[in-house]
Amino acid sequence: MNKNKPVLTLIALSSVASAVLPLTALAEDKVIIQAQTYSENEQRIKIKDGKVIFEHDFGADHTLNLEYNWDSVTGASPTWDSTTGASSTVESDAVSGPSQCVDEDGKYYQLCRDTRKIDGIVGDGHKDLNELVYRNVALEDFRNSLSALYTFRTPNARDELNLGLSYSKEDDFINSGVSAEYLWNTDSTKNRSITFGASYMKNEVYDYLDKKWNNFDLSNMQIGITQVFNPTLVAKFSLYTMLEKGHLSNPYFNVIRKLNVAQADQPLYFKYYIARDSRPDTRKAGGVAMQASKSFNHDNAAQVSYRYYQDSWGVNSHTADIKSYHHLGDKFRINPALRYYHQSAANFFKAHDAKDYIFDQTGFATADHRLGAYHSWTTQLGLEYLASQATTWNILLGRQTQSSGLTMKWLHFGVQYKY
Amino acid sequence: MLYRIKKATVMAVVLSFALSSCTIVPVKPWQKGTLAQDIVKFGGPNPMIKKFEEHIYTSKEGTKGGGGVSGGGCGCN
Repeated sequence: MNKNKPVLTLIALSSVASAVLPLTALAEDKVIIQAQTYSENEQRIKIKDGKVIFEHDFGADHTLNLEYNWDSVTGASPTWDSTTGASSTVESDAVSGPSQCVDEDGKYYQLCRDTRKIDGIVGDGHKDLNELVYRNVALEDFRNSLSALYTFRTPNARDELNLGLSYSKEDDFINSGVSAEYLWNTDSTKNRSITFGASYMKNEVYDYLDKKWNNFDLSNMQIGITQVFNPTLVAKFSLYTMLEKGHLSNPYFNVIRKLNVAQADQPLYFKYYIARDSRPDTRKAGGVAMQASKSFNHDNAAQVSYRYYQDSWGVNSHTADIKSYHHLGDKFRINPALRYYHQSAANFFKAHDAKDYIFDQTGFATADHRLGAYHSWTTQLGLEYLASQATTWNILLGRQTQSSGLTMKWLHFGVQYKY
Repeated sequence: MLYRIKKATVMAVVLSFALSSCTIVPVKPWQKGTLAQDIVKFGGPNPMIKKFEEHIYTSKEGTKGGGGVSGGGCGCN
């Protein structure tokens, strides 16, 4: 901490990492370098990523925060596919036409519909469900992102205006966003503040089958009140709402649809098709978030939070989190954390291992397990080495177990230098 | 059973914080040294760790939001 700075700089500091603004955070120049490895069970995703953040004060009223992030993703993600891998190509009876719609006797050779006209169908039709399988499909991706956050503090009231810009690019995804947030200290003691925030993100997703870019937008608004209750307790209560519009279907996920391929005047004749993930083009969401931070003494503090979410797709979730910090002597600090998460399923979700996992010809459909019902527990343990007033090294181990069977683990390590 | 115990523990701690928040004591500027500590800040002493965590959660869960309006996005398929 720079002791020469006015006491007023003790009021609020914002960062890209957290737009949740305590009333009494310190403004400090800093550089942070952080890296992470992440992996999932069942030979799924592996990620390596790194971040560099630079934060600098320009006088008492201006702060600039810049961040660069890169990550690489390898491994595989599960989805429905045919045992022959037909869904991974554009070659199908959507291309070769009705000739694929033939039973053992050739009975329907001239009578089947042309599945080329059915939107979202991928690959050949199958009479036997055993020819379709839910399995890992390999993927590889790289991402680079940049973000900037400028903070201006009003000279007298020390209200804050935060303006943010962000941009990230992957081979198949581009995101650009703007955000603005205003923190209003409601009285001269600055024990209470109200935060108003809004952001807009434009996203472009590449559809590898249709070979075109699709767009969707995300608008986010939030209002929060932060209150200092006593010299050791501060809490924040927020309301938030989000609106996603555009092409929200995931190009990497498939489902199984059962189609009557016979023409209207013929007897029913069903086949099973790999079809594309299909979601509504609008998603309205909102909820409440609460968090509190309590200092027990100079060496021990804890934070708790709770969030409720619900959206127009039928998904709702509860998230509760406990995190604490404990100094061990002058040089070390440990940080255990426990998080519980529970969500319900979207009303157009069918799990791949459910009794009924087949969709009709029409209607929204997804087998993306992230839109299914499950709960998870996350445990983390961090250790920091306070090498000096300026330099802190850290390492953190985390693990999440989902009731769906997915298990993830991660390791963070890095250094923070304040100047 | 273990899940239930963990869930009850989480809820109990959250509730105790909520109940202890019922009384507001006016705090003078010179009494805010404790709340200015790194370990009391929302987000913790290192905001980057918080960012990594949020990235994992938003990538692997079907819901998001409530943590502020700034920041970017990812494909995260």
